[in-house]
Amino acid sequence: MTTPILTGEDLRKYFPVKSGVIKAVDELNFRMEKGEVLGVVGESGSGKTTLGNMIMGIYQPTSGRITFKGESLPARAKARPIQLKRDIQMVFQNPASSLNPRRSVRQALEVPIRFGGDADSIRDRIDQLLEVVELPVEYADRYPEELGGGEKQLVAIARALATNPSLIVLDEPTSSLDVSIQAKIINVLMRLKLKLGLSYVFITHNLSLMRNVADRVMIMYLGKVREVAPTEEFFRNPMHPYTRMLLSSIPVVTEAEEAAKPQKIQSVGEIAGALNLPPGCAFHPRCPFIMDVCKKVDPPLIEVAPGHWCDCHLYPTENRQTSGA
Amino acid sequence: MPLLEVKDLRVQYRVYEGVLKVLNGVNLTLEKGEKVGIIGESACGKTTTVKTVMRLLASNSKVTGGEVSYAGEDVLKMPKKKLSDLRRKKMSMVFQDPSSALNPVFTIKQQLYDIIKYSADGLSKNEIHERAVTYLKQAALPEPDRILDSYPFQLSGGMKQRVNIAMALVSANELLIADEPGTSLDVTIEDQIMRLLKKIVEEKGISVILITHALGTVKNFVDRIYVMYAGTIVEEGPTREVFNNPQHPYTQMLIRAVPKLTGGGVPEGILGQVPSYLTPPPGCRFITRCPYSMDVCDHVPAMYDAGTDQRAACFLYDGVHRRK
Repeated sequence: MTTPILTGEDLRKYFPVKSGVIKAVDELNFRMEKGEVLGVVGESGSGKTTLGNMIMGIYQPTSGRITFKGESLPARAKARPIQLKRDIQMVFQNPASSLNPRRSVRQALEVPIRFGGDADSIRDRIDQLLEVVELPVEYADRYPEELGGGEKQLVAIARALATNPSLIVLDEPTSSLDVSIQAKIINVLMRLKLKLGLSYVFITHNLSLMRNVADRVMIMYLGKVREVAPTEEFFRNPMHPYTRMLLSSIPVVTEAEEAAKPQKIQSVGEIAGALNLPPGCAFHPRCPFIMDVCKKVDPPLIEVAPGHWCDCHLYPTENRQTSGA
Repeated sequence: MPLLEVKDLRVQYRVYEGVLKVLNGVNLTLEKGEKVGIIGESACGKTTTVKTVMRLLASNSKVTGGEVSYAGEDVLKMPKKKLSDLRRKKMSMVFQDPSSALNPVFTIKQQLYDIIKYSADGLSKNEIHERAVTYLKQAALPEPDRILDSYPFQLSGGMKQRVNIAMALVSANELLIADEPGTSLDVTIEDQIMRLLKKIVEEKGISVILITHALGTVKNFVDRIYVMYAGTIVEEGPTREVFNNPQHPYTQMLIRAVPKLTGGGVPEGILGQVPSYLTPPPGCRFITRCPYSMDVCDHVPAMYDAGTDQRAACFLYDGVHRRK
């Protein structure tokens, strides 16, 4: 077996607040291969951005660890060797706020190029980076306000590429953009991945988008992974009731898509507050298939089909084991 | 007579850089009990259009042409008293962001009671309370008394949007304008809100204008669609036709650009950018991004019959020109 590029082992992030503890990420295990696009999908409060921030070293896990290329990743960004920092980069949701309005594209790219070590010819490297993200080289002397939303995001991508990373965390990179622009950004990202051999942790709430770009999809709900599967398998055979509720709630534009949705599970209830998680399975108050066991026992994440993991008492082999344990 | 008729509406905004020529001859009709959608991407003039209808435009704006008639009366020339009667009893609006549409320092009770008091004359305290409870129940809010005593921050996003719907229902006896009512909510919650809204307006026979950039959201909601691009209506037709058989190049490209749940990759989208409203193209405003642009596109296209049942503002359908 090859060494995975990124893994999470029993990763937890708890935020203590006045009235208790918010378990933003809890008992999270995942594994990601080199060259893979892992789609991390969830609604608000699912912990998907917290996970991204832990990978970047912005947040430190309460417990558990992250490994990168087989080695344990120091929790704090500051404690990471420079080579490691170059190797993992991030693109944020809103390019308008992640670019400094007073710095030209050239200035925005210069810093990470110097940091990346190969600063022999900064000018050439800037041209090269702009070309790679399919922007005209003349854009180097523009300021963010002179760029459209999509162009700004391409600059943010170029900036992330400046240090020659192998892993990029994309946190909702197209959510603030119009759909016609989104298409362009996604296509650039996918071409870059092939060309430069990148791996992406793609954090999003957009399942339709993941159908088209992810190799594997990981569904999060209230801090935990609820289902992971290779994309084809995931959409052909969604198992977790939450996944199915999510899929049947997605507004689609074609008849073919309507037909491809799983049997309708009507969305009911709201996402529980992260502070007072329901006991047992956190999804049980909204689940149409609720059983007694769901209110008491939190189901473990088990492999229900090859490569297809799901944490739900409906898949009963493991259920017996857990309640027996 | 249609309930609402917008004719050749032109609106401009005065800003530091100059004059933004936003709406450039918008035509729209809404029959009684009908639900129409306005779709388009950011800054295409969707919200400006409905704000003109509600007469809620900002002070730096100017209506430079056209008219808005509501049940035969010109809204733009209506005296204040009559206008407020219209807003009190006939039409109302649900906004995109449920948090900023509610005042954070007043309880729901204070805000909802105010609206009810304003909607009818001479209501007693009891009547006001009873109506408040009724509207909250219609918006599928359990425990209305607890909701009434809550401040907005004590409610979730979905509940806040239900409160906004309840508030809009007080006055929207004939027309409800919903401006991206589900956009800021999670998908599963948006689905609930849209189903609820549809049920309520159909039961009460309220006409609806639904504005959104999310194409899938309008598809199951409205009878007819207007597609807007850069301040102009580019296509209009029955929902089914527009989605299954789009005619205007912009509509075609827009629908194609949506990532599909059935896979197949993400297409290239629409290259280029929406033109600046400071110096919009003199003719068809899509000319800068259109793969079929021709010499004639320097003129403003009329709405031509296109496809089976829809109309498109594109010279490809004028019976003279055709696709190269």
